[in-house]
This record gives sequence, C-alpha cells and structure tokens, in this order.
Amino acid sequence: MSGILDVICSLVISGIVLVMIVTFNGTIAEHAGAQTVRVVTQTNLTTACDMMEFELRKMGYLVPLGYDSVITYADSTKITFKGDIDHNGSVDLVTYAFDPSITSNANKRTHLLRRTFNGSQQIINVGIIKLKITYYDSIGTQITQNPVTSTKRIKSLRLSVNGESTVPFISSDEKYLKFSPGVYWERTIKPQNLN
Amino acid sequence: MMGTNVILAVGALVIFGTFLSSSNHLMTVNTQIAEQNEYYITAISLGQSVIAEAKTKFFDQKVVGRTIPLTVPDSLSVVLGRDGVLEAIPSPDTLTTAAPYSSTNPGYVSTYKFNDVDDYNGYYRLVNTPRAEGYQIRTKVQYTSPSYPDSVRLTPSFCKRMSVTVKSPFIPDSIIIAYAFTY
Repeated sequence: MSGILDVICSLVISGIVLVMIVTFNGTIAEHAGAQTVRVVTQTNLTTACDMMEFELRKMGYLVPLGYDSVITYADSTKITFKGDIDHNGSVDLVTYAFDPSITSNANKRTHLLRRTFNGSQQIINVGIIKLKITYYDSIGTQITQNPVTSTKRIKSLRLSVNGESTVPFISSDEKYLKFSPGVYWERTIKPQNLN
Repeated sequence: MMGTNVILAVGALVIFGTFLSSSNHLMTVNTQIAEQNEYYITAISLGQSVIAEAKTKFFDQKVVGRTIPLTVPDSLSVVLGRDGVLEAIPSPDTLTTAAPYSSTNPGYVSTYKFNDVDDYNGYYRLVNTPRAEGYQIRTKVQYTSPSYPDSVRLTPSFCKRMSVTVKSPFIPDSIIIAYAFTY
C-alpha cells in the first residue's frame, strides 16, 4: 500500500516539476526572443541615426564658396545636400528621403529610408515609422515653409526618428503595450559649414 | 520511510521552485533593463537636442549684434537667465502649434524667443514623444573656467557650462549631460 502511495506521490511531484520546467523553458525562449528583437531594433535605429547625424554634420564641408546653397532640397521628410562626406577632395551629393510606401516588412507600420550618395541609392530598412526634419534659420527660428524654398536660410535642423522592430512583437506578459519594441530618437544638428 | 521520501521530494521541489523563481526574477530584471534602455536612448537624444539648440544662439546677450569681439569677459552678463519680457516663455515649454508654428509644424517657444546660451538657465521643457510621455528636461547654465569646465565661477568668463537633466517616469534615475560653450 505504502509502495503504491510512494509511486503516486512521485508521479504527482514529477508532473509538477515537468510542468515547471516546460513553463520555464517557454518563458526563457520568449524572453530571449524579446530581448533579441529589442536589442536589434535599438542598435539598428541608433546606428542609422548616428550615420545620418555624421553625414548631416559634414554638410558643406569643402564645398567652395559661391555655391547658391549647400542644401539643394529640403522638406520635412527629404533633404539633399552637398559636402565632401568621404573626405576625398570631391564634393558629394547626398540625399536622405523617407519613403512612406508600404514595405514587405512583417511590421506594416515600418517604412524605408533611402540614402542616395552621388546617384547610387541605398535602402536603409531599420524599421523607421516616421522621420521628420525641422529646419531653423540663423537665430534658431523654425522655418515653417515646407518644402523650404530658400534653403540658404537653413542653418540648423532637427531630426526626429520614430522606429519599431521590422517584425511586430509584443510579449504575452505585456499585452497592454501598444507598440512593438522600438525607440524615439531626436537630435538638433548645427553643421559648421553651412554658408 | 514513506514520510521521509515525501519530505525529501517536497524539499527538492522547494529548492527547485526557489531556483525557478530567482531565474524568473532575473529575466524580468533583464527585460526591464532592455525596456528602460529605449527610454535612456530617447532621454539622451532629447538632452543633446537642447544643447544643440543652444549652440545656435549667441554666447551672451551682450555680444548680440556686436561686430567687434570682446577681449575681456567683464562686460558679459553677470546674471544668467532670460533678459526681459521678450524672452519670457511658458514653463514647462511644450510643443506648441501657436504662431509662428502651425498644427503641421509644431515647435518649442525657446527656439525663437531665446537668443543667447544663458537664456536656458532655469529652463524647463516637457517632451511627449510618440512612444512615451513626460520627459522632463531642466537646464542650468553657469560660468566656468575655460581651462577647467567642471568648476563654477561666480564672475563672467568666456566659458559657460550648460547642464541638462532629463527625467522620465520610465527610468529610475535622471540623466545629466553637460556641455561647455566658449566665446
């Protein structure tokens, strides 16, 4: 009798342990996935933003005096500017443009950023939902015209980027969240070489 | 004998449960840190944005419109802060659509009302981003020694240090970013 009771107790306990292990394993897998999505998204977005910031800061670098304006086109989602970005002695033409069209990403809220460097286009697909460029004149007053017709007035700009993971992801224990992992990044840039 | 076995099994279960519980706690803390990281990134970018905005302004009210640069700092402003009612702004300064801005082009009052770096002394901005609300940005501007920007000087010098403190309800501590402006 006691032997049967022993077996029953053991079965119950081993069942509980098994359920705990399975649940634990599932939790680990989900958290690892969430962590990966978060880190990849944050890293991708900050890297893309750092790259944009680097190039925007260098606008006008080594551009000879006499050019109408270093910035040839400027609106709230697109900017084209000149500057010796790669420091090879020749002036480059760079365009950053937010493309609002629907992408093949699983997260349909995300869009592409197009970078054109001397005519060759690169697609930056890091999960940007919204990109906004705001322009300021020499005394820091915002230029509300869009697109800016007199780009020579632009002396600084603010870049705001809102991004999410290209794959929609909300953990089962965070159902209250509205958005997938992402990051909002904003920076005011005052290029030193804007003439 | 059976009693001993069950007690041992229950004891093992308790130990295993404790291990699982601490592991779960570890994962929760990890997740929390990863989530907070998002708000840290935004907080740093917002703080740096205010500093970059101040970089577009004059060094001091006394050099506004000046064609000949000052050679000694004595004639710079002694009191750091906004200069008169023309530079009065709401506190906190939040994104506004009032003129000269519009609903499609909102902006902060500081960008067009402030004209020099120390106008940002005591400035308070409240930023709501599309992902999180309530970033509180406070700035402090002090004179400092050009050769030792960590110091504080009570008399004018050619170096002003701006300290930007950013707080968010989603991060446990505040972020302080400092920048030294030189004339």
